[in-house]
Amino acid sequence: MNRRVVKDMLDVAGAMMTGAESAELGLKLVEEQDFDMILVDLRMPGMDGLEAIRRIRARGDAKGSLPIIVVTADTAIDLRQRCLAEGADEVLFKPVAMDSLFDAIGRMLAKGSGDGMIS
Amino acid sequence: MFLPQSPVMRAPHLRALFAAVMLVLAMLAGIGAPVRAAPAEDDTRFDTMVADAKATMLVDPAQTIVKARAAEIAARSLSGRQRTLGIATAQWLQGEAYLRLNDATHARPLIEGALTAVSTGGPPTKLNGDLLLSRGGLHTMTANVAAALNDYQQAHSIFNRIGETRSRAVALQNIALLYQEAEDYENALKYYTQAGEVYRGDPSLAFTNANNRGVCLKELKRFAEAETQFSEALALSRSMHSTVLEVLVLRNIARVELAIGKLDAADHAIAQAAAIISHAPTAAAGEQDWSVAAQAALQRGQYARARALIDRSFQGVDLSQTTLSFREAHQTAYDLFKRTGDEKQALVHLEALKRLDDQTSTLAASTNTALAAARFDFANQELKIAKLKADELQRNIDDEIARARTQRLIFMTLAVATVVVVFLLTFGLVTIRRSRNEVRAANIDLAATNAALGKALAAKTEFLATTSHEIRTPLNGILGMTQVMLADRALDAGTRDRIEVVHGAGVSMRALVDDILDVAKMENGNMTIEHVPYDLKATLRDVSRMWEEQARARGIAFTLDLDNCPDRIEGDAARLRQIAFNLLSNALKFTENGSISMRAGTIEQDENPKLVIEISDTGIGIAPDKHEVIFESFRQVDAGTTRKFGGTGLGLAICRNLARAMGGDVSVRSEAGQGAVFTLELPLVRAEALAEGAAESAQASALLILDRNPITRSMLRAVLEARAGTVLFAGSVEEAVGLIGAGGIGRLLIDDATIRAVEDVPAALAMLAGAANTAGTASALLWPTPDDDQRAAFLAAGINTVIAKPIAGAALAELLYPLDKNDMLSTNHLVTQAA
Repeated sequence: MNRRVVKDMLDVAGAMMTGAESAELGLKLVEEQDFDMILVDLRMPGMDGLEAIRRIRARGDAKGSLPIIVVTADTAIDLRQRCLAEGADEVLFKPVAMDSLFDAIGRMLAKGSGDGMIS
Repeated sequence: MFLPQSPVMRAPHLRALFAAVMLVLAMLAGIGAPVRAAPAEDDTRFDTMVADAKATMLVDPAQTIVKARAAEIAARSLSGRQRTLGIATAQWLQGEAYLRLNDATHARPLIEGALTAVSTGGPPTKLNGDLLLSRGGLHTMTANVAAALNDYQQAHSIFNRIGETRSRAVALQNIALLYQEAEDYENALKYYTQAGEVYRGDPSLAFTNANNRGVCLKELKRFAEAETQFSEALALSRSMHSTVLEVLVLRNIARVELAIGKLDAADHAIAQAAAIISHAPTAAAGEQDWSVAAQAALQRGQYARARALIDRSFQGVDLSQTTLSFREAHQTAYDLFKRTGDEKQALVHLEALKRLDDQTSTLAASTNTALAAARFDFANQELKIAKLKADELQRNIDDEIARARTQRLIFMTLAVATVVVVFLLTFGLVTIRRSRNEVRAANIDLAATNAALGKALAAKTEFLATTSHEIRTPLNGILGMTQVMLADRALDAGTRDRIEVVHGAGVSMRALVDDILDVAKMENGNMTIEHVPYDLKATLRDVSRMWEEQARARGIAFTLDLDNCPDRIEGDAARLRQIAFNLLSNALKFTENGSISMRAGTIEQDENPKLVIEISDTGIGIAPDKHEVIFESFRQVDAGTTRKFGGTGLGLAICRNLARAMGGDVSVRSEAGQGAVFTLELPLVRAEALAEGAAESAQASALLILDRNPITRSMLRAVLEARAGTVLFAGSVEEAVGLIGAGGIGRLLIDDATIRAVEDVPAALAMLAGAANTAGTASALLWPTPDDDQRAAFLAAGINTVIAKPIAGAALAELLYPLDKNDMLSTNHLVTQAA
């Protein structure tokens, strides 16, 4: 449901999203396709979000430095810090305000080396 | 065994013997009494008659009775006490005479009557004692030994009291006789000795005493002493010229001599007795003498002579009917016939002996029993004395006990005090130890409790976190989709309204969950407060803007007074915003009409300046007694307000907790129905103000970006904000034109994606360029790889710069805001970003 929500939100902004049911599947997609950004939940069946971030950051190539935004319903006090420490670029808490999502994505894109606009 | 002296008077022969002894006593006593009682008596005739009667007592008692009766008649003519005593004396004489005639029947009423007469009406007299002695004799005769002893004792007591020593001695001898009769020779001797010590002036008494003591001593086999006593008695009998008494003593002497084997002396004594008897026919019969002589002959082995003497002593006597006086003779006869082999005769005498001994034993036993009973009464009296002594002793003991009690009390007090002290010390030590243990135990308990609480808290936190997570996930779906739907410009108004309702509900729910989590964090002490500089005015304006619109929509006036508000301060902007947001929300919630205002100022006092933010409303107000309650979690003034106004009741609690966490507080001034003023006070730490020029120039050179895509907007803002300062966005050509017209826009950046959505792109571009040029705003257009024709057309439409997409953010920024044309602040920002 939440993947659908994010997909529809991104659709409003004209962004494309590919959903993955698990971290393992997500890592496989990252491996196979090219993305500008990765959004990851923390609680997933199997591998959790933090482990997925570690796996991505462990890559030595360009994909290993892709912007990562955590989207979570957890509200633990130090969760943001832990995520950032693992290599996440931004943490968004559910329910996610669409503006916040777009703002975060926009900032992530701006931080990039100058890929320009996605549209 | 020699029993004749034994005063068992019931045996006729022995009574004669005993009577002889008692006769002397009674006579002498009897004579004494009238002599002393009479001196004051004038009636000499009576005295003469009494004396006459006494004179015949010894030889002819019957005559005495006649004379005494005459005296009694004479006494009746007397008067008063004299008459009583006279009659009593006469009756006593009669009674005594009857006693001598062994006539107890006649003696008793006379003696008892006289005794009753003298016992009443005056103190005891000698006559009284004499009557008691007589009655004792009467009792003795009727074998009432105990009563006899009692009378003798009473008589002795009276004589002792009135100083009649002789009569005392008589009473003591009578008592001694009773003991002698009971074969208690030791006690008998004791009383005889006492009697002899009390009175010695009367030869007849002395004789009786010596003779009877001799008998007792002989029975106790103290023969030498008995000999001495009998010798004394013999001498006394001779001095008294009494042949009867002399014979009596001689027989006793003979028996003692026989007992100790002095046969010649025994024969001599018997011969003397026989000689006296032969010369004085009035003396008692001599059968006893024959038996004594026979015994002497037997001891000598003169059986024929002994046989002759025995036969003589039993001459004319029925052997089966003999009295105690024959016991001695029977004994001798038995011994003789046994020795001579005449078994048949021996057996006859043995049977007689046994009969007499049984008789004796029975009598002695009964007498002894009676005496023992009497002695028991004495013992009782002794017990009384002993009791008296014991009482005295008891008093002493009581005194001692009292003293001991006092001492004991003192001791006990000291002991108790000591015990108390020891107890207190022990208690103290135990208490200290226990309290130490208790403290230890309490610490353990506390640790356990803390652990439990920790677990409970962790469980609560975990629960809240889980609950929060589980609520936020579906809420994300709700709010996400409402936002997506509302983003659709093609949405019809009705549907949009309904979706907005759903969205508003979702937002409220999100606020609720956030509040709960905030409270949990505060309670757990997990709230962190930042201390960084921020623009207070801008923050308050920002918060106000969110509620101002809602207030106006409900017709409520909203004023923001920042005249005395400091600009930049140090603190936690997010928390301050949260407090102000909640207070304003609260004010609006409970105000149905009127106004709401927020005023910020400072209190400059001492070294601790304070920031004061007041939020006032004209709402329902709060009763004073509820002023503290409303700051508690999940509390509103009452349940009704919850139903009416909604809310979780957490807002004010969060405000207060946050304020206190920042070193300040939130308070309220209000009356029910009078509105309310909530006051936030926080420690004021001013921060260095930014250069005004920079802010103003930044404001003057605001960048307006025409772009509908939110992500693109965000990206452009991130890229350009540092150099542009203020970045504004417009979603449509018309909006952009309006903003440019309002002024303050230094640059305009147009994204092709938004302008392409317009039907007539050139016209739109011309409109924008026209507005920009009019306002003096530099315009730039982003266009994907424009060819030269396009670029020329755009420039011709009035656009100042055409920038080709895609372009790197930094390059775009450099194109729009070349470094050499910018100020230091922007440069710094760029450097920072590059780093």
